Amino acid sequence: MKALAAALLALALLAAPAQADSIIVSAGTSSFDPGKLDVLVGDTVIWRNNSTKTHNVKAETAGYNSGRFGPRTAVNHVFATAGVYPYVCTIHDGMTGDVGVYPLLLGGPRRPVQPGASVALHVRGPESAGEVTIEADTGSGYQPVAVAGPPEGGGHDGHVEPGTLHANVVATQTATYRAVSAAGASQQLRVEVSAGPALALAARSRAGRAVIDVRARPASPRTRVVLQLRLRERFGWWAVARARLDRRSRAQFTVRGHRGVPARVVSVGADWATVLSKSRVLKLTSRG
Amino acid sequence: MLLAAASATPAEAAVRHEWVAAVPTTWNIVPNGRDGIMGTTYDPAQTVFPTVVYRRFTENWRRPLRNAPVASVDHNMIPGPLLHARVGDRLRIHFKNRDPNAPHSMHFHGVHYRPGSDGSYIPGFSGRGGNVKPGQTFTYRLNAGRDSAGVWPYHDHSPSMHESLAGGLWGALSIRGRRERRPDREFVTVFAAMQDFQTINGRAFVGNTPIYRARVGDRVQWDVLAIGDEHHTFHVHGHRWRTAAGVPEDTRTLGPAESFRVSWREDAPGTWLYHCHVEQHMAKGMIGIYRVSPR
Repeated sequence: MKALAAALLALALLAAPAQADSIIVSAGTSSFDPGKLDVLVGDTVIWRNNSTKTHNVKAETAGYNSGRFGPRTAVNHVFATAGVYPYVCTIHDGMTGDVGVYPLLLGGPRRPVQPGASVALHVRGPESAGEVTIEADTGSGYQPVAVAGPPEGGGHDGHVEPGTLHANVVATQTATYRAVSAAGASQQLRVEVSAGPALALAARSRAGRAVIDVRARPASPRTRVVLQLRLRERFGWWAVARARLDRRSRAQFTVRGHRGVPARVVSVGADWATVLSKSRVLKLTSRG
Repeated sequence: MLLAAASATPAEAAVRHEWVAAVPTTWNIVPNGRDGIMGTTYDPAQTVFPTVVYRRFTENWRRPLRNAPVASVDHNMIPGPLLHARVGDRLRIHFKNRDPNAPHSMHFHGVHYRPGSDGSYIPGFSGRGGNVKPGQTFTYRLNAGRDSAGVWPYHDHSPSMHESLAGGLWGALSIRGRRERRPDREFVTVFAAMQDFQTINGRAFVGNTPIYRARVGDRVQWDVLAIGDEHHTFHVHGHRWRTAAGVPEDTRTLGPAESFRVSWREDAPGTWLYHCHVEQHMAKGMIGIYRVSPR
């Protein structure tokens, strides 16, 4: 038992320092993109001016003032201490951003996962971080759920990326995760668990119309599904057709026109509005 | 122009039959889930509610029809069917209450009828037409008089009136003069508070509210109505019309159950806003877009 514990501890220690990253923020005409950014202690943030205006970056709590930088130029700053650092362009009102600097950075899925799915999380951190635990909060406070270690099989091609640990957790419900070590805690990472089935789409063209076949997994006949198009004049996703999955958990939609318009299918609750799961987005190819 | 164009020959007076039912439905005030201008998002828990609406049917309520010509997933059931007549016409509105839970009725503004077709509930005085029980039917007999030309609201005036008006059980009656030409486009615009929103035709925020469409050269007519307890001001960007006295205006006020129609020959291509100019109403969703394409 002691040997097992020792082995776990050894696995859980970050073997090498994470390589410092450089993260690019685009300075546009009147906004920064992304406006909110999480980085690891020691990472460099580069602000690249992609607009035709002159900007500056002033982060008072970080003691940083870039001075003016013109179109097609860039400025940068190394964030050496953990904390959240708001910054502004003092030339343009309302042009603001935030850099969150953490001793550990937690990465995971950006899309909702199916209930019971094994979710891969990865942690970037320095060697001094020591043992790293993954904690989850489903509404009643953080509880440890896994210990992060090197990837099984030594990573891609047997190569372990320095300073990166991995953990798999079983996601039964939507939760907020964080990685914790002696050095401190990572940012919060929310992993959504879909309440509906996974929806696979296959699109084809028939007689000038787009035909979209929907297949759900796991089997979920009678589930309500809605075809949505992202329409400019609707200012977002707009339901254009609805159906219930058949006994084989399939449905079919036919759309005329709307060539090049993004489309997706969502499963919904009894109100035909609460989205339980979403398909990938595809572009319609039919000619109207 | 406020005044309608006249055609050469008057239409024959007719008896018009309409089949309408009060039907339970689930209504979403903000189907796209957002205020597209301010970027605020809304959860279906805030925007979806059960209600009862008027729906147009074929004869003897055999088959439901759309209330409005624009296709949508929920068939645009608020407002109820746009009912048309000409001065001199007789209207027979066959109503069925398909709501299993409450009585309903139809009470019409602007037209002539005997008390039995008033559709309002006065205990001890009114007949069945003011209190049509679940599953029952009633035919309202109405006449479009010389003073009936214009646009008028109709709504539930049964004991369920207050819940019904808050839930969208209302519609518009559009009556033309005997010689009056039909417009190329007719837009029904009903201002009403609903749940925590200020709605146009039961919907809030651009993209959800009606998208009206016209072409340059079209004669467009807006039928504007208000239901509820508040006053609204109808405003269309980039356009003006004239009052009966010939005064140009681009904003007009209306109070509860008031209605008017304005029309013009369209000459301004582009995508325009229309909205209630009571600022708080606009911020709570009383705003939409009007798209005019070149000829």
